Amino acid sequence: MSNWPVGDIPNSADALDLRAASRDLWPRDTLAWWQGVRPPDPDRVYWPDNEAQVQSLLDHAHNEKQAVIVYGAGSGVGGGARGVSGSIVLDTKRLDHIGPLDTERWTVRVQAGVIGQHLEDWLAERGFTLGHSPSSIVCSTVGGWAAARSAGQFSSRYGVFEDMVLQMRVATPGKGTVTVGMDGDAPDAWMAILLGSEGTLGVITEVTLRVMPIAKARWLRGYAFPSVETALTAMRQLMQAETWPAVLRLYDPVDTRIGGKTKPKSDKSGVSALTRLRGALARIPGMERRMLALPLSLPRLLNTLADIASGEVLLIVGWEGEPDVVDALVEAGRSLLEAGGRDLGAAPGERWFDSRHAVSYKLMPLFRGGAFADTMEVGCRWSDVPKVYAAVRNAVRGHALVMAHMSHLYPEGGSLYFSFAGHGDQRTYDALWQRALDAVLASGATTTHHHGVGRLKQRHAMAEVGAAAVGWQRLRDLLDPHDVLGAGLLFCETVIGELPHFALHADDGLVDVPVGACVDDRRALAHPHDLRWPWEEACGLPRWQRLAWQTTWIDVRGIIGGEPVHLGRGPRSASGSDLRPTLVEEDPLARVTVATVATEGRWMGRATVEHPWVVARALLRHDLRPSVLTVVDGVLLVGFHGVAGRALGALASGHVPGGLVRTEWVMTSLPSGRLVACDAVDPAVVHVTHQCAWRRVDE
Amino acid sequence: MSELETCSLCPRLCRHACPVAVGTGREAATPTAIAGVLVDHARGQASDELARQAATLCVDCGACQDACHLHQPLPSLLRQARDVLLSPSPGPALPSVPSGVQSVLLVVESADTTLPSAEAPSDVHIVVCPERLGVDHDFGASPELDGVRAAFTGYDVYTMDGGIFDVLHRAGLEPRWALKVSAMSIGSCVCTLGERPPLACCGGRGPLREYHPASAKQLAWSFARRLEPGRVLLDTRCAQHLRAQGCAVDPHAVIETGEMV
Repeated sequence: MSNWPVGDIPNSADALDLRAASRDLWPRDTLAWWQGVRPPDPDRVYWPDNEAQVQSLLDHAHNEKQAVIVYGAGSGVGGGARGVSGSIVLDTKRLDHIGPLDTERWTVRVQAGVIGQHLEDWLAERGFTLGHSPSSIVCSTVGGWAAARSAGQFSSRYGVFEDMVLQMRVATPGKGTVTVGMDGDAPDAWMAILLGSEGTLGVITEVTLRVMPIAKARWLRGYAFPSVETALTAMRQLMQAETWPAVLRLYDPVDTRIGGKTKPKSDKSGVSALTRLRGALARIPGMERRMLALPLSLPRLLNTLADIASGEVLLIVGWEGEPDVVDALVEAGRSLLEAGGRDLGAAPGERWFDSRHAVSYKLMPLFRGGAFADTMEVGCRWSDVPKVYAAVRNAVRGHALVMAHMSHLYPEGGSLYFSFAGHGDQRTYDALWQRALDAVLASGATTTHHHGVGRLKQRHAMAEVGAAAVGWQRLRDLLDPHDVLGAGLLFCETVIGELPHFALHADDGLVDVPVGACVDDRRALAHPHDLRWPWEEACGLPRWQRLAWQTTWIDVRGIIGGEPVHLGRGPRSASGSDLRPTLVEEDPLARVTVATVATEGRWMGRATVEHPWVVARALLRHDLRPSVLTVVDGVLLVGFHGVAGRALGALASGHVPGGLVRTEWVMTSLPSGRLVACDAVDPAVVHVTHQCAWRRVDE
Repeated sequence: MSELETCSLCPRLCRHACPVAVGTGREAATPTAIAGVLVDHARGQASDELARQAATLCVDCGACQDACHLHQPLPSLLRQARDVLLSPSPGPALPSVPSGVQSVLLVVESADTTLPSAEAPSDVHIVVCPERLGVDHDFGASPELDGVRAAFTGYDVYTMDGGIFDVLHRAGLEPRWALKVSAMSIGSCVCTLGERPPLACCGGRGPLREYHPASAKQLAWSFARRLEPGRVLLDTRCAQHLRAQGCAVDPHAVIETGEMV
């Protein structure tokens, strides 16, 4: 390296700092380190204190063609956030300022190096929450959440992390520091590619996020179901009926059994003898390690025993928000839950809530015992869940004990979260992952739902994205023409090969349409259902202008460079950037799937009020999530789908001056194209979010 | 060793609570990273010098143990490591306690500081604590702790200083927190009368200041930046240290010890 260090940017080449930056939380590296193999160190670590220093460092790296790895809190579990030999590490943790909080708009500005728990504490002191609660919240940064497209445990209510990002500041080697999103100076299309780019396109320095007042009420419950299938049916119905639970977590029989999760906390029956025996054995010197190592070295037997011992499964369900809305949703949700489930009371839910960040504490004894543990989260449609679950379990049952739960739910599907515990070295670990990810792609799921790619899933993510990687590559050519950022990470090469495509199933609530079809044509294809979100154009609005629960397309299938590409195999993929817009742009004849909704029982009310969009925003801020919230010829229309529709309509009516008058369902559409923020009393308003109203650019 | 191993394998679940890791941004200062170096040292894969550097990044505030769901005793493990890796420093002079006094308030100021101006409650006797019970010297087990125990056993001991509280606690005493105020730590600490206080770190304590002066300064700056309106410093020593590091500290944010009695 020549001409380094740069200016007065704090930095270190001390062995202590270099070795600390050489690892993230990839279990493969932890396993290797525990077995005495330490990865090579990077060359130097920098801690810029502000955005200007970040840019200065990148400018210098660009000129010198110096490789840079961006490092937040190093909580990545795929090896993408570790400093490597020959690189410098740009550590963002001194970018740690929070504020201002805009209590009128419900937004907060946060620098990228802020630890998640610090942000949540800071907001809580002021009566707000981000609502983003990954299990890594104490050991991950806000910038990392954006770079790897994180998702938190309450995503069904608050959205995944990209739903919360209104604006992002990004320092780049080739184009300086840009602002994307709301009031941005960079193309809107960059946002979807920069989010999830895992430090390969720029350094996220600051984000502006949506926040919510802390929920006034929370309702948590456990339900036991006789089988995974019956529980899945209840979950799907809850999501497709727009009851929007904050938490919905289904544990498979093994996870339910091992955790003893359907028993009250005080009930020790059935486990006490085992626990006592285990405790007694653990006191024998050297025995604790063998106790773990021995069974985990026989994974096939262990999985078979677990299968035999399997019983009912546990579903944790919860709602939170305004008390009257929670009451209405609970009432509606219970009818769906109790059709197949048995109410276990509040204890299992509260137990989960109290220990929701504690699962990571269970990892250390495994590694100390010579074993390893890891997790894999994939996205898939409802109809593919049984197939994916069986495929992964069968693929790895000879390599590790495997269990799973399902969380992060959408009307179209959700995330299957597998936990592995195995015994062996890096070769065992690598073989396990190869088989698991092969099974994932072969059975129709996405490579990752919210853990990101790193080095662990790189080849499978490239296979999933295929030729659409060109969208990422073009932006990289522009923003980082000398390939200094995260060299060799993400889509560094294109893997061509068509993945299996499975036909749509009625359970998924999706309809396949040409991307160019107008809203009426899409509606006709959805019949007898309606479009859940009837955008004027299939692309809808950019994410920061939509409500967190409004979706545009799910799958996109098209051709790039003669190669077929299928993105969005599940309701969400964190396999790097979201390249679905790239695919649509490349192939105007692409086909997309969009969500549909059953029309039975829907409810609509109308009101003529002064400033109807102001009233509309007030409804959103009271935690109501109408399917229709618009103004037609000066009349406010509010519509709800699903089993809670009538009750929610009554609640909404109470928040509208003069109330809502029940009316026949009116077919409306949602705006598309370019919108700008405006005052809610502006006569040209066409759309509203919690933050502000929006009107068309050309009006 | 097994406790250190557990910390070394932890996915850094207490990093948000560690004032040094947060204040400096140094990944090496996370409790997990420190424990990892000491594990490597124990198995011959890290030098004495590296282990010394790692162990001296800790300011012994106890925040990691408080944040840990397993309550791993990392602070005491690092104290033991420092005892082995560093040459011992002289122990402090211990305060004398007048006979017949049943309650003692340990003043946080060092010996050369004037007594608090306000009157203490009549049933509390103020003892000026020279060398702050040796907090700055980071001494560990006997004989100093034995001396502390002997000096204060039989008295109700109140203190308003986290470091002194820790020394008393380590000596086997049960001191009480003399104040009920919102505290000033980097985290979300709140001091409550009668409960163990948060052991907040001002960055002024050795061995961080001695062995990692740049990190001590960074920590002080980071700490001072978080002194939002309404937050106060309980300790004039802390304010003195922050000012010595070049931080601007609002005089109104510092409450003299005497005012707190």
